[in-house]
Amino acid sequence: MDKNSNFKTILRNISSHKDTKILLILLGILVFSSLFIRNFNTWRNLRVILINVPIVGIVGIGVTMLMISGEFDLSVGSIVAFGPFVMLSLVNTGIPIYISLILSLLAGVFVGFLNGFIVTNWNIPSLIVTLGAAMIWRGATLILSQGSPSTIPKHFPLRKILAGELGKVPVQFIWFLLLAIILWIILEYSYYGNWVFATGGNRMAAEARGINTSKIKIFNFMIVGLLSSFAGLVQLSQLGSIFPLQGSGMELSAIASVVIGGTLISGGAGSIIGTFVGVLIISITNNVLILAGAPGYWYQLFVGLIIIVVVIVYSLRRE
Amino acid sequence: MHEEKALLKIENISKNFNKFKALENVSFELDSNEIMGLVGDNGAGKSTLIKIISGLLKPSSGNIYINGEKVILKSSRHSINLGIETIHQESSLVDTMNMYRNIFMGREITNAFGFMKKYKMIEEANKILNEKISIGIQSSEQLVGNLSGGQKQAVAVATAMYFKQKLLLLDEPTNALSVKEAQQVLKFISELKKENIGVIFVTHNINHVYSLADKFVILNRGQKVGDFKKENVTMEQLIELIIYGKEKRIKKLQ
Repeated sequence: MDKNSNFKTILRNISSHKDTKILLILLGILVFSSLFIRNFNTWRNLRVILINVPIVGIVGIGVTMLMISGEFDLSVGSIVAFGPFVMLSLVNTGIPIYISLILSLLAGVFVGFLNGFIVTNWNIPSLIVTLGAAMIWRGATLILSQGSPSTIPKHFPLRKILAGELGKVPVQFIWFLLLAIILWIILEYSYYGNWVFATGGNRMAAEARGINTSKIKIFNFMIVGLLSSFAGLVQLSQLGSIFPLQGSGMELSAIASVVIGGTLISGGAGSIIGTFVGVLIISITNNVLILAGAPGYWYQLFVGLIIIVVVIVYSLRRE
Repeated sequence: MHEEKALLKIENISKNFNKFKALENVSFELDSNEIMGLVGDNGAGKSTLIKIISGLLKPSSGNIYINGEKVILKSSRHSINLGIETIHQESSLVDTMNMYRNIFMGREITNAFGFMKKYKMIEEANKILNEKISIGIQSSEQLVGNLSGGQKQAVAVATAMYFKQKLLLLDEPTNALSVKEAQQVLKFISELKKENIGVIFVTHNINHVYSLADKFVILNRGQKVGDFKKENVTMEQLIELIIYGKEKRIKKLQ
Protein backbone atom coordinates (compact mmCIF):
# COMPACT_ATOMS: atom_id res chain seq x y z
CA MET A 1 0.00 0.00 0.00
CA ASP A 2 2.54 2.48 1.20
CA LYS A 3 4.91 1.57 -1.58
CA ASN A 4 2.11 1.94 -4.07
CA SER A 5 1.20 5.43 -2.90
CA ASN A 6 4.87 6.40 -2.93
CA PHE A 7 5.03 5.26 -6.51
CA LYS A 8 1.94 7.25 -7.32
CA THR A 9 3.44 10.37 -5.76
CA ILE A 10 6.57 9.93 -7.83
CA LEU A 11 4.49 9.42 -10.93
CA ARG A 12 2.42 12.51 -10.17
CA ASN A 13 5.55 14.57 -9.56
CA ILE A 14 6.98 13.47 -12.88
CA SER A 15 3.81 14.15 -14.84
CA SER A 16 3.35 17.57 -13.27
CA HIS A 17 7.00 18.59 -13.70
CA LYS A 18 7.43 21.54 -16.01
CA ASP A 19 9.88 19.77 -18.33
CA THR A 20 7.98 16.52 -18.81
CA LYS A 21 6.10 17.59 -21.92
CA ILE A 22 9.09 18.85 -23.84
CA LEU A 23 11.10 15.73 -22.93
CA LEU A 24 8.27 13.56 -24.26
CA ILE A 25 8.21 15.57 -27.48
CA LEU A 26 11.98 15.06 -27.86
CA LEU A 27 11.57 11.35 -27.17
CA GLY A 28 8.86 11.17 -29.81
CA ILE A 29 11.05 12.90 -32.38
CA LEU A 30 13.97 10.60 -31.57
CA VAL A 31 11.88 7.44 -31.88
CA PHE A 32 10.30 8.63 -35.11
CA SER A 33 13.63 9.64 -36.63
CA SER A 34 15.37 6.40 -35.64
CA LEU A 35 12.62 4.31 -37.14
CA PHE A 36 11.94 6.17 -40.33
CA ILE A 37 15.01 8.20 -41.24
CA ARG A 38 17.93 6.32 -42.73
CA ASN A 39 21.34 6.93 -41.18
CA PHE A 40 19.81 8.91 -38.31
CA ASN A 41 20.91 6.67 -35.47
CA THR A 42 24.55 6.40 -36.44
CA TRP A 43 27.41 7.75 -34.36
CA ARG A 44 28.58 9.86 -37.25
CA ASN A 45 25.22 11.57 -37.49
CA LEU A 46 24.96 12.03 -33.75
CA ARG A 47 28.35 13.74 -33.83
CA VAL A 48 27.06 16.21 -36.39
CA ILE A 49 24.21 17.09 -34.04
CA LEU A 50 26.49 17.37 -31.03
CA ILE A 51 28.71 19.80 -32.93
CA ASN A 52 25.81 21.88 -34.25
CA VAL A 53 23.92 22.28 -31.00
CA PRO A 54 26.34 23.98 -28.57
CA ILE A 55 26.76 27.43 -30.14
CA VAL A 56 23.08 28.35 -30.22
CA GLY A 57 22.63 26.36 -27.00
CA ILE A 58 25.20 28.26 -24.98
CA VAL A 59 23.59 31.52 -26.05
CA GLY A 60 20.13 30.07 -25.45
CA ILE A 61 20.62 29.07 -21.82
CA GLY A 62 21.78 32.61 -21.03
CA VAL A 63 18.78 34.07 -22.84
CA THR A 64 16.56 31.71 -20.81
CA MET A 65 17.78 33.16 -17.55
CA LEU A 66 17.35 36.70 -18.89
CA MET A 67 13.88 36.02 -20.27
CA ILE A 68 12.72 34.54 -16.96
CA SER A 69 13.71 37.84 -15.35
CA GLY A 70 11.47 39.58 -17.87
CA GLU A 71 13.85 40.92 -20.53
CA PHE A 72 15.35 39.71 -23.75
CA ASP A 73 18.35 40.39 -25.88
CA LEU A 74 18.55 40.84 -29.65
CA SER A 75 22.26 41.71 -29.56
CA VAL A 76 23.53 38.19 -28.86
CA GLY A 77 24.20 37.47 -32.54
CA SER A 78 26.41 40.55 -32.76
CA ILE A 79 28.32 39.63 -29.61
CA VAL A 80 28.96 36.17 -31.07
CA ALA A 81 31.00 37.95 -33.79
CA PHE A 82 32.30 40.85 -31.69
CA GLY A 83 33.89 38.64 -29.00
CA PRO A 84 36.09 36.61 -31.36
CA PHE A 85 37.15 39.70 -33.32
CA VAL A 86 38.22 41.42 -30.11
CA MET A 87 40.18 38.30 -29.24
CA LEU A 88 41.95 38.04 -32.61
CA SER A 89 42.71 41.77 -32.70
CA LEU A 90 44.31 41.53 -29.27
CA VAL A 91 46.28 38.41 -30.21
CA ASN A 92 47.50 40.16 -33.35
CA THR A 93 48.87 43.05 -31.29
CA GLY A 94 50.97 40.51 -29.37
CA ILE A 95 48.89 40.08 -26.23
CA PRO A 96 49.09 36.49 -24.89
CA ILE A 97 46.21 34.26 -25.95
CA TYR A 98 44.78 33.56 -22.52
CA ILE A 99 44.75 37.22 -21.56
CA SER A 100 43.07 38.03 -24.88
CA LEU A 101 40.56 35.29 -24.15
CA ILE A 102 39.66 36.79 -20.81
CA LEU A 103 39.48 40.30 -22.25
CA SER A 104 37.18 39.18 -25.06
CA LEU A 105 34.89 37.47 -22.56
CA LEU A 106 34.90 40.66 -20.51
CA ALA A 107 33.99 42.58 -23.67
CA GLY A 108 30.84 40.45 -23.84
CA VAL A 109 30.13 41.09 -20.17
CA PHE A 110 30.58 44.80 -20.78
CA VAL A 111 28.12 44.84 -23.69
CA GLY A 112 25.64 42.99 -21.48
CA PHE A 113 26.17 45.46 -18.66
CA LEU A 114 25.50 48.42 -20.97
CA ASN A 115 22.30 46.78 -22.23
CA GLY A 116 21.08 46.06 -18.71
CA PHE A 117 22.04 49.45 -17.36
CA ILE A 118 20.24 51.34 -20.12
CA VAL A 119 17.16 49.13 -19.86
CA THR A 120 16.81 49.42 -16.09
CA ASN A 121 18.04 52.96 -15.54
CA TRP A 122 15.78 54.63 -18.09
CA ASN A 123 13.07 51.99 -18.11
CA ILE A 124 13.34 51.39 -21.86
CA PRO A 125 12.02 48.13 -23.35
CA SER A 126 14.87 45.69 -23.89
CA LEU A 127 13.57 45.01 -27.40
CA ILE A 128 14.57 48.53 -28.43
CA VAL A 129 17.79 48.84 -26.45
CA THR A 130 19.19 45.53 -27.65
CA LEU A 131 18.05 46.18 -31.22
CA GLY A 132 20.21 49.29 -31.10
CA ALA A 133 23.01 47.37 -29.41
CA ALA A 134 22.83 44.65 -32.07
CA MET A 135 23.53 47.23 -34.77
CA ILE A 136 26.18 49.09 -32.78
CA TRP A 137 28.27 46.00 -31.98
CA ARG A 138 27.80 44.53 -35.45
CA GLY A 139 28.99 47.87 -36.77
CA ALA A 140 31.92 47.88 -34.39
CA THR A 141 32.84 44.38 -35.56
CA LEU A 142 32.71 45.49 -39.20
CA ILE A 143 34.92 48.48 -38.43
CA LEU A 144 37.34 46.37 -36.41
CA SER A 145 37.57 43.76 -39.18
CA GLN A 146 37.44 46.17 -42.12
CA GLY A 147 34.73 43.87 -43.40
CA SER A 148 36.95 40.87 -44.02
CA PRO A 149 37.16 37.56 -42.16
CA SER A 150 39.87 36.87 -39.64
CA THR A 151 41.79 33.63 -39.17
CA ILE A 152 43.28 32.09 -36.04
CA PRO A 153 47.08 32.01 -35.69
CA LYS A 154 48.98 28.78 -36.34
CA HIS A 155 49.38 27.81 -32.74
CA PHE A 156 46.00 28.28 -31.21
CA PRO A 157 45.59 26.09 -28.13
CA LEU A 158 41.91 27.04 -27.80
CA ARG A 159 41.13 24.85 -30.82
CA LYS A 160 41.56 21.77 -28.69
CA ILE A 161 40.14 23.22 -25.52
CA LEU A 162 36.96 24.65 -27.02
CA ALA A 163 36.37 22.52 -30.10
CA GLY A 164 38.44 19.35 -29.82
CA GLU A 165 37.35 15.90 -28.81
CA LEU A 166 37.18 14.17 -25.47
CA GLY A 167 37.05 10.47 -26.10
CA LYS A 168 34.77 10.52 -29.10
CA VAL A 169 32.57 13.36 -27.86
CA PRO A 170 32.99 16.88 -29.29
CA VAL A 171 34.35 19.12 -26.53
CA GLN A 172 32.00 21.97 -27.41
CA PHE A 173 29.07 19.77 -26.44
CA ILE A 174 30.69 19.04 -23.09
CA TRP A 175 31.07 22.79 -22.53
CA PHE A 176 27.42 23.28 -23.38
CA LEU A 177 26.36 20.49 -21.02
CA LEU A 178 28.58 21.82 -18.24
CA LEU A 179 27.35 25.42 -18.57
CA ALA A 180 23.74 24.26 -18.78
CA ILE A 181 24.14 22.26 -15.56
CA ILE A 182 25.69 25.24 -13.79
CA LEU A 183 22.90 27.61 -14.87
CA TRP A 184 20.27 24.98 -14.07
CA ILE A 185 21.58 24.59 -10.54
CA ILE A 186 21.75 28.35 -10.03
CA LEU A 187 18.24 28.89 -11.37
CA GLU A 188 16.50 26.04 -9.57
CA TYR A 189 18.45 25.73 -6.35
CA SER A 190 20.04 29.04 -5.39
CA TYR A 191 18.39 32.06 -3.84
CA TYR A 192 19.56 34.00 -6.87
CA GLY A 193 17.40 31.78 -9.07
CA ASN A 194 14.42 32.45 -6.86
CA TRP A 195 15.05 36.18 -7.23
CA VAL A 196 15.25 35.81 -11.01
CA PHE A 197 11.84 34.13 -11.13
CA ALA A 198 10.38 36.73 -8.76
CA THR A 199 11.81 39.64 -10.79
CA GLY A 200 10.20 38.47 -14.02
CA GLY A 201 7.01 37.16 -12.41
CA ASN A 202 6.01 40.25 -10.45
CA ARG A 203 8.52 43.04 -10.20
CA MET A 204 6.54 45.02 -7.65
CA ALA A 205 6.13 42.06 -5.31
CA ALA A 206 9.83 41.27 -5.59
CA GLU A 207 10.76 44.87 -4.78
CA ALA A 208 8.43 44.86 -1.79
CA ARG A 209 10.40 41.91 -0.43
CA GLY A 210 13.64 43.83 -0.76
CA ILE A 211 14.88 42.30 -4.01
CA ASN A 212 16.82 44.74 -6.18
CA THR A 213 15.26 43.74 -9.48
CA SER A 214 17.36 46.15 -11.56
CA LYS A 215 20.53 44.49 -10.30
CA ILE A 216 19.15 41.05 -11.14
CA LYS A 217 18.30 42.15 -14.68
CA ILE A 218 21.66 43.82 -15.26
CA PHE A 219 23.46 40.76 -13.97
CA ASN A 220 21.46 38.49 -16.28
CA PHE A 221 22.31 40.71 -19.25
CA MET A 222 25.97 40.33 -18.26
CA ILE A 223 25.62 36.53 -18.13
CA VAL A 224 24.11 36.60 -21.63
CA GLY A 225 26.98 38.79 -22.87
CA LEU A 226 29.55 36.46 -21.33
CA LEU A 227 27.97 33.33 -22.79
CA SER A 228 27.49 34.91 -26.24
CA SER A 229 31.13 35.92 -26.41
CA PHE A 230 32.10 32.43 -25.26
CA ALA A 231 29.85 30.86 -27.92
CA GLY A 232 31.60 33.05 -30.51
CA LEU A 233 34.99 31.81 -29.34
CA VAL A 234 33.79 28.21 -29.57
CA GLN A 235 32.68 28.88 -33.12
CA LEU A 236 35.99 30.54 -33.94
CA SER A 237 37.88 27.52 -32.59
CA GLN A 238 35.63 25.17 -34.52
CA LEU A 239 35.82 26.93 -37.88
CA GLY A 240 39.34 28.32 -37.62
CA SER A 241 38.16 31.69 -38.86
CA ILE A 242 35.35 34.14 -38.34
CA PHE A 243 33.30 36.41 -40.57
CA PRO A 244 32.13 39.82 -39.39
CA LEU A 245 28.55 38.75 -40.11
CA GLN A 246 28.87 35.54 -38.09
CA GLY A 247 25.98 34.94 -35.75
CA SER A 248 23.48 37.01 -37.77
CA GLY A 249 20.01 35.70 -37.00
CA MET A 250 21.24 33.76 -34.01
CA GLU A 251 19.18 35.92 -31.64
CA LEU A 252 16.05 34.50 -33.25
CA SER A 253 17.22 30.88 -33.17
CA ALA A 254 18.14 31.35 -29.53
CA ILE A 255 14.77 32.84 -28.66
CA ALA A 256 13.05 30.08 -30.67
CA SER A 257 14.73 27.34 -28.66
CA VAL A 258 14.00 29.15 -25.40
CA VAL A 259 10.32 29.49 -26.26
CA ILE A 260 10.08 25.88 -27.45
CA GLY A 261 11.59 24.93 -24.09
CA GLY A 262 8.62 26.45 -22.29
CA THR A 263 10.04 29.74 -21.04
CA LEU A 264 7.44 32.50 -20.95
CA ILE A 265 8.34 35.49 -23.10
CA SER A 266 6.66 37.67 -20.46
CA GLY A 267 8.95 36.31 -17.75
CA GLY A 268 8.46 34.58 -14.42
CA ALA A 269 8.58 31.01 -15.64
CA GLY A 270 10.93 28.85 -17.66
CA SER A 271 13.60 26.24 -17.51
CA ILE A 272 17.18 25.56 -18.56
CA ILE A 273 16.38 21.90 -19.25
CA GLY A 274 13.57 23.07 -21.51
CA THR A 275 15.94 25.24 -23.53
CA PHE A 276 18.51 22.45 -23.67
CA VAL A 277 15.88 20.16 -25.16
CA GLY A 278 14.53 22.98 -27.34
CA VAL A 279 17.92 23.46 -29.01
CA LEU A 280 18.17 19.71 -29.57
CA ILE A 281 14.71 19.62 -31.14
CA ILE A 282 15.54 22.41 -33.60
CA SER A 283 18.88 20.88 -34.49
CA ILE A 284 17.46 17.36 -34.93
CA THR A 285 14.68 18.73 -37.13
CA ASN A 286 17.28 20.36 -39.34
CA ASN A 287 19.30 17.15 -39.38
CA VAL A 288 16.32 14.97 -40.25
CA LEU A 289 15.29 17.26 -43.10
CA ILE A 290 18.79 17.05 -44.56
CA LEU A 291 18.90 13.27 -44.20
CA ALA A 292 15.46 12.99 -45.78
CA GLY A 293 16.77 14.94 -48.75
CA ALA A 294 14.49 17.94 -48.31
CA PRO A 295 15.82 21.21 -49.76
CA GLY A 296 17.34 23.57 -47.19
CA TYR A 297 14.44 25.98 -47.50
CA TRP A 298 12.22 23.59 -45.58
CA TYR A 299 14.15 24.14 -42.40
CA GLN A 300 12.74 27.56 -41.53
CA LEU A 301 9.20 26.51 -42.31
CA PHE A 302 9.52 23.54 -39.98
CA VAL A 303 11.07 25.47 -37.11
CA GLY A 304 8.30 28.04 -37.43
CA LEU A 305 5.68 25.30 -37.27
CA ILE A 306 7.32 23.72 -34.24
CA ILE A 307 7.37 27.00 -32.36
CA ILE A 308 3.69 27.62 -32.93
CA VAL A 309 2.55 24.06 -32.24
CA VAL A 310 4.60 23.81 -29.04
CA VAL A 311 3.37 27.14 -27.75
CA ILE A 312 -0.23 26.04 -28.36
CA VAL A 313 0.46 22.83 -26.42
CA TYR A 314 1.85 24.91 -23.54
CA SER A 315 -1.15 27.20 -23.48
CA LEU A 316 -3.46 24.16 -23.29
CA ARG A 317 -1.61 23.04 -20.17
CA ARG A 318 -2.17 26.36 -18.48
CA GLU A 319 -5.93 26.34 -19.05
CA MET B 1 10.15 56.70 34.64
CA HIS B 2 9.57 54.46 31.67
CA GLU B 3 7.63 55.86 28.79
CA GLU B 4 6.15 53.52 26.22
CA LYS B 5 7.58 54.39 22.81
CA ALA B 6 5.34 54.30 19.76
CA LEU B 7 6.02 51.49 17.29
CA LEU B 8 6.15 54.02 14.46
CA LYS B 9 6.38 57.78 14.65
CA ILE B 10 6.24 59.92 11.55
CA GLU B 11 7.37 63.50 12.10
CA ASN B 12 6.84 66.32 9.59
CA ILE B 13 7.40 64.16 6.54
CA SER B 14 7.40 66.07 3.24
CA LYS B 15 8.05 64.80 -0.24
CA ASN B 16 8.45 66.90 -3.35
CA PHE B 17 8.60 65.67 -6.91
CA ASN B 18 10.21 68.62 -8.66
CA LYS B 19 7.74 71.41 -7.85
CA PHE B 20 4.87 69.12 -6.97
CA LYS B 21 4.33 68.66 -3.24
CA ALA B 22 3.15 65.07 -2.80
CA LEU B 23 3.34 65.25 0.99
CA GLU B 24 3.53 68.27 3.28
CA ASN B 25 4.49 68.01 6.95
CA VAL B 26 2.64 64.82 7.72
CA SER B 27 2.98 63.48 11.28
CA PHE B 28 1.34 60.63 13.20
CA GLU B 29 2.05 57.83 15.64
CA LEU B 30 1.12 54.18 15.65
CA ASP B 31 1.35 51.67 18.51
CA SER B 32 1.73 47.93 18.36
CA ASN B 33 -1.63 46.14 18.33
CA GLU B 34 -3.18 49.21 16.74
CA ILE B 35 -4.84 49.25 13.35
CA MET B 36 -4.73 52.60 11.63
CA GLY B 37 -6.81 53.47 8.61
CA LEU B 38 -4.83 55.73 6.29
CA VAL B 39 -7.56 57.14 4.11
CA GLY B 40 -7.86 59.68 1.35
CA ASP B 41 -9.01 60.02 -2.20
CA ASN B 42 -6.87 59.06 -5.19
CA GLY B 43 -3.83 61.32 -5.37
CA ALA B 44 -3.98 62.26 -1.69
CA GLY B 45 -0.42 61.03 -1.08
CA LYS B 46 -1.18 57.69 0.57
CA SER B 47 1.00 55.66 -1.77
CA THR B 48 3.86 58.11 -1.50
CA LEU B 49 3.73 57.87 2.28
CA ILE B 50 3.65 54.06 2.18
CA LYS B 51 6.60 54.02 -0.21
CA ILE B 52 8.55 56.22 2.18
CA ILE B 53 7.84 53.98 5.17
CA SER B 54 8.66 50.87 3.15
CA GLY B 55 12.01 52.34 2.12
CA LEU B 56 11.31 52.70 -1.60
CA LEU B 57 11.30 56.51 -1.55
CA LYS B 58 13.34 58.94 0.50
CA PRO B 59 11.44 61.81 2.11
CA SER B 60 12.50 65.36 1.17
CA SER B 61 12.39 66.26 4.85
CA GLY B 62 11.10 64.96 8.16
CA ASN B 63 11.95 62.10 10.50
CA ILE B 64 10.88 58.51 11.06
CA TYR B 65 11.18 56.79 14.44
CA ILE B 66 10.78 53.10 15.12
CA ASN B 67 10.30 52.21 18.78
CA GLY B 68 11.55 55.66 19.59
CA GLU B 69 14.71 55.31 17.59
CA LYS B 70 15.33 57.61 14.65
CA VAL B 71 15.90 55.72 11.41
CA ILE B 72 16.83 56.69 7.88
CA LEU B 73 15.35 54.02 5.63
CA LYS B 74 17.81 53.27 2.86
CA SER B 75 15.98 50.56 0.90
CA SER B 76 13.06 48.19 1.10
CA ARG B 77 15.49 45.57 2.37
CA HIS B 78 16.37 47.93 5.23
CA SER B 79 12.71 48.43 6.13
CA ILE B 80 12.08 44.70 6.07
CA ASN B 81 15.01 44.12 8.41
CA LEU B 82 13.50 46.65 10.79
CA GLY B 83 10.28 44.64 10.84
CA ILE B 84 8.24 46.57 8.28
CA GLU B 85 6.38 44.46 5.72
CA THR B 86 4.49 45.92 2.76
CA ILE B 87 1.62 44.12 1.08
CA HIS B 88 0.19 45.58 -2.12
CA GLN B 89 -3.17 45.01 -3.66
CA GLU B 90 -3.16 41.73 -5.53
CA SER B 91 0.53 41.94 -6.28
CA SER B 92 2.16 40.82 -3.07
CA LEU B 93 2.92 37.37 -4.48
CA VAL B 94 4.24 36.02 -7.76
CA ASP B 95 1.64 34.01 -9.68
CA THR B 96 4.13 32.00 -11.72
CA MET B 97 5.96 30.71 -8.63
CA ASN B 98 4.80 28.06 -6.19
CA MET B 99 3.83 28.73 -2.58
CA TYR B 100 7.05 27.98 -0.79
CA ARG B 101 9.15 29.94 -3.27
CA ASN B 102 6.78 32.85 -2.69
CA ILE B 103 6.69 32.62 1.08
CA PHE B 104 10.48 32.67 1.29
CA MET B 105 10.97 35.12 -1.60
CA GLY B 106 13.76 37.48 -0.55
CA ARG B 107 14.30 35.48 2.67
CA GLU B 108 15.28 32.06 1.36
CA ILE B 109 16.64 29.49 3.77
CA THR B 110 20.07 28.78 2.34
CA ASN B 111 23.31 27.04 3.17
CA ALA B 112 26.66 28.81 3.28
CA PHE B 113 26.93 28.72 -0.53
CA GLY B 114 23.60 30.39 -1.21
CA PHE B 115 21.77 27.22 -2.19
CA MET B 116 18.24 26.86 -0.92
CA LYS B 117 17.35 24.17 1.57
CA LYS B 118 14.23 23.20 -0.32
CA TYR B 119 12.96 20.54 2.06
CA LYS B 120 13.25 22.87 5.02
CA MET B 121 11.45 25.60 3.07
CA ILE B 122 8.65 23.25 2.04
CA GLU B 123 8.29 21.98 5.62
CA GLU B 124 8.08 25.49 7.08
CA ALA B 125 5.73 26.68 4.34
CA ASN B 126 3.40 23.77 5.04
CA LYS B 127 3.43 24.76 8.70
CA ILE B 128 2.38 28.30 7.83
CA LEU B 129 -0.36 27.10 5.51
CA ASN B 130 -1.77 24.59 7.97
CA GLU B 131 -1.29 26.30 11.32
CA LYS B 132 -1.36 30.06 10.78
CA ILE B 133 -4.14 30.10 8.26
CA SER B 134 -6.76 27.58 7.26
CA ILE B 135 -7.80 28.57 3.78
CA GLY B 136 -7.79 25.18 2.18
CA ILE B 137 -4.33 25.19 0.65
CA GLN B 138 -2.87 21.73 1.04
CA SER B 139 0.49 21.81 -0.65
CA SER B 140 3.14 24.48 -0.60
CA GLU B 141 4.23 23.24 -4.01
CA GLN B 142 1.03 24.53 -5.57
CA LEU B 143 1.32 27.49 -7.97
CA VAL B 144 0.17 30.78 -6.45
CA GLY B 145 -1.60 31.64 -9.70
CA ASN B 146 -4.19 29.00 -8.84
CA LEU B 147 -5.22 30.74 -5.61
CA SER B 148 -8.02 33.26 -5.25
CA GLY B 149 -7.21 36.89 -4.50
CA GLY B 150 -8.30 36.49 -0.88
CA GLN B 151 -6.15 33.40 -0.37
CA LYS B 152 -3.15 35.24 -1.76
CA GLN B 153 -3.58 38.14 0.66
CA ALA B 154 -3.99 35.74 3.57
CA VAL B 155 -0.77 33.96 2.60
CA ALA B 156 1.08 37.27 2.29
CA VAL B 157 -0.06 38.37 5.75
CA ALA B 158 0.69 34.97 7.31
CA THR B 159 4.16 35.18 5.81
CA ALA B 160 4.78 38.51 7.51
CA MET B 161 3.61 36.98 10.80
CA TYR B 162 5.89 33.98 10.35
CA PHE B 163 8.87 36.30 9.98
CA LYS B 164 7.76 38.16 13.11
CA GLN B 165 7.34 41.49 11.36
CA LYS B 166 6.11 44.23 13.69
CA LEU B 167 4.47 46.64 11.28
CA LEU B 168 2.29 45.76 8.32
CA LEU B 169 1.64 48.26 5.55
CA LEU B 170 -1.42 47.08 3.68
CA ASP B 171 -1.77 49.05 0.47
CA GLU B 172 -5.39 48.71 -0.72
CA PRO B 173 -5.39 45.02 0.25
CA THR B 174 -9.06 44.49 -0.51
CA ASN B 175 -9.32 46.45 -3.73
CA ALA B 176 -9.11 43.60 -6.17
CA LEU B 177 -11.23 41.21 -4.12
CA SER B 178 -14.83 40.09 -4.27
CA VAL B 179 -17.05 41.21 -1.39
CA LYS B 180 -16.90 37.81 0.28
CA GLU B 181 -13.13 37.53 -0.07
CA ALA B 182 -12.67 41.04 1.22
CA GLN B 183 -14.64 40.12 4.35
CA GLN B 184 -12.41 37.10 4.93
CA VAL B 185 -9.25 39.16 4.60
CA LEU B 186 -10.65 41.86 6.92
CA LYS B 187 -11.45 39.25 9.55
CA PHE B 188 -7.97 37.86 9.22
CA ILE B 189 -6.42 41.30 9.65
CA SER B 190 -8.54 42.06 12.72
CA GLU B 191 -6.95 39.05 14.40
CA LEU B 192 -3.47 40.54 13.94
CA LYS B 193 -3.92 42.76 16.99
CA LYS B 194 -3.62 39.70 19.19
CA GLU B 195 -0.20 39.09 17.68
CA ASN B 196 1.01 42.51 18.78
CA ILE B 197 1.41 43.76 15.24
CA GLY B 198 0.79 47.34 14.20
CA VAL B 199 -1.12 47.76 10.96
CA ILE B 200 -1.48 50.67 8.56
CA PHE B 201 -4.41 49.94 6.29
CA VAL B 202 -4.42 52.17 3.23
CA THR B 203 -7.65 52.58 1.35
CA HIS B 204 -9.98 55.02 -0.30
CA ASN B 205 -12.88 52.77 0.61
CA ILE B 206 -13.79 53.83 4.14
CA ASN B 207 -16.32 50.99 4.42
CA HIS B 208 -13.55 48.43 4.40
CA VAL B 209 -11.55 49.95 7.16
CA TYR B 210 -14.11 51.57 9.44
CA SER B 211 -15.15 48.50 11.39
CA LEU B 212 -11.57 47.36 11.70
CA ALA B 213 -9.53 50.40 12.59
CA ASP B 214 -8.73 51.90 15.99
CA LYS B 215 -7.77 55.23 14.53
CA PHE B 216 -7.75 57.15 11.29
CA VAL B 217 -5.37 59.49 9.53
CA ILE B 218 -6.91 61.36 6.62
CA LEU B 219 -4.83 62.78 3.80
CA ASN B 220 -5.98 65.30 1.25
CA ARG B 221 -3.68 66.66 -1.47
CA GLY B 222 -0.59 65.73 0.47
CA GLN B 223 -1.68 67.22 3.77
CA LYS B 224 -2.97 65.59 6.89
CA VAL B 225 -6.48 66.91 7.39
CA GLY B 226 -7.51 64.73 10.27
CA ASP B 227 -6.23 62.33 12.93
CA PHE B 228 -8.88 60.67 15.08
CA LYS B 229 -9.42 57.84 17.47
CA LYS B 230 -12.38 55.92 16.23
CA GLU B 231 -14.59 56.91 19.18
CA ASN B 232 -14.16 60.58 18.27
CA VAL B 233 -15.32 60.42 14.68
CA THR B 234 -18.24 59.17 12.64
CA MET B 235 -18.11 57.60 9.23
CA GLU B 236 -19.94 60.62 7.76
CA GLN B 237 -17.33 62.99 9.11
CA LEU B 238 -14.54 60.85 7.67
CA ILE B 239 -16.17 60.82 4.27
CA GLU B 240 -16.57 64.63 4.33
CA LEU B 241 -12.90 65.00 5.19
CA ILE B 242 -11.78 62.64 2.48
CA ILE B 243 -13.77 64.53 -0.13
CA TYR B 244 -13.42 68.17 0.96
CA GLY B 245 -10.31 67.98 3.10
CA LYS B 246 -11.54 70.73 5.40
CA GLU B 247 -11.39 70.56 9.13
CA LYS B 248 -13.53 73.67 9.53
CA ARG B 249 -16.44 71.85 8.12
CA ILE B 250 -16.04 69.07 10.66
CA LYS B 251 -15.88 71.54 13.51
CA LYS B 252 -19.07 73.10 12.29
CA LEU B 253 -20.67 69.72 12.22
CA GLN B 254 -19.57 68.99 15.73
